[in-house]
Amino acid sequence: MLIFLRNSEYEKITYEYPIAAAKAFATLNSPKPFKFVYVSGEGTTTTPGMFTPFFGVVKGRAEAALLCLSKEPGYELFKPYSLRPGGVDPTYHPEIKEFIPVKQGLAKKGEELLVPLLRKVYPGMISPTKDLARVLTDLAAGDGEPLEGKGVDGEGRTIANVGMRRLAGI
Amino acid sequence: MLPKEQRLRRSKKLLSNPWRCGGDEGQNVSNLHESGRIRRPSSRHFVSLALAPTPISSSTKPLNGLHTSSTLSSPLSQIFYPDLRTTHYKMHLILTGATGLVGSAVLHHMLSTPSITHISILSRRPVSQAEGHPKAQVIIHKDFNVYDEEVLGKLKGAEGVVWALGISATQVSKPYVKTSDILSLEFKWEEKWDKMNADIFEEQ
Repeated sequence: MLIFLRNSEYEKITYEYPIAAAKAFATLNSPKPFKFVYVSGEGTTTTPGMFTPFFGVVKGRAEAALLCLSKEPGYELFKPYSLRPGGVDPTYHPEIKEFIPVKQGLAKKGEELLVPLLRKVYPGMISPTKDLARVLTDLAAGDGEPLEGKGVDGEGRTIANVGMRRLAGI
Repeated sequence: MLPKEQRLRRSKKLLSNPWRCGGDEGQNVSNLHESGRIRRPSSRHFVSLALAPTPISSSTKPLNGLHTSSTLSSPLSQIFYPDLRTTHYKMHLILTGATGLVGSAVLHHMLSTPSITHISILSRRPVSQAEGHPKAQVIIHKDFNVYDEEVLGKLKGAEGVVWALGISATQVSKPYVKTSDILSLEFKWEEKWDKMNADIFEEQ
């Protein structure tokens, strides 16, 4: 019972809300295109397997639904992007320190240990907030055309963390 | 005509700015000419521009193939940017999830980027980060499944949205730990179940 509730609430926020918004917003900028930049997460996949985490399945479904929506008649102006950040790292973004939610307990401990470690060992998994914010904003403000290159997939509209870092120039 | 050395230095300075948004370059150059900051470039000037090597600066590298919005410190950056004071340039963006980690970073970037002229923030609760910024408008929105005419009217003309609204899959269970909540939700579920059964019977 608990699991059912938990999942349904997560799906509502992660899947239903963005799709409902996408449908409502698609023609806001008519006759110019409207760009929808969905913040997904690394680990997400549109083809889930046995070991895909639950959030990856739901976010993958949202990504796929946004792509499909853009191909439906009447949605020619709708240009979706999905960006999958890795470990979101606000360390070098002191201006937002006072506004970001404070993590507690295990999540806080995990982050304190994991993020500095990843930054050293596997920086490709880290998303510094300044760069992430710039890429997200530029995608929403850009021309809506598909992207190319490393770390870009899903018809040029799904950007992995590696792709985000490349676009940001880090 | 300027001395050769000075011309070279100028062209290098121009090239050190990697942002080339195309379009109104010529017009903006003439704006600068009128303000007396630089002379109107001659055709020879452009030749030297085309031949000079392009320096790569790692700190302000442009996003490949993207229209970029970052602020630049060089005064000549205005050549490649719309002049926000004289043209009717506008860039209206929507943001959700502004009180979260990613959302607050995006909001900070949007607020500090002059080329973004209007920000509509859809939020369940007030956004303290947006207070005192005239270009940011917080729209208190309760149900993200429904967007009525009033809300869509406020968002009209927006170029795009950054959808940073989300929740951690591990955090979502917290509100339901309280027994009273579980009971009330179970009750709701039972209601729904009864209604579903009733519908099936009606169909038959």
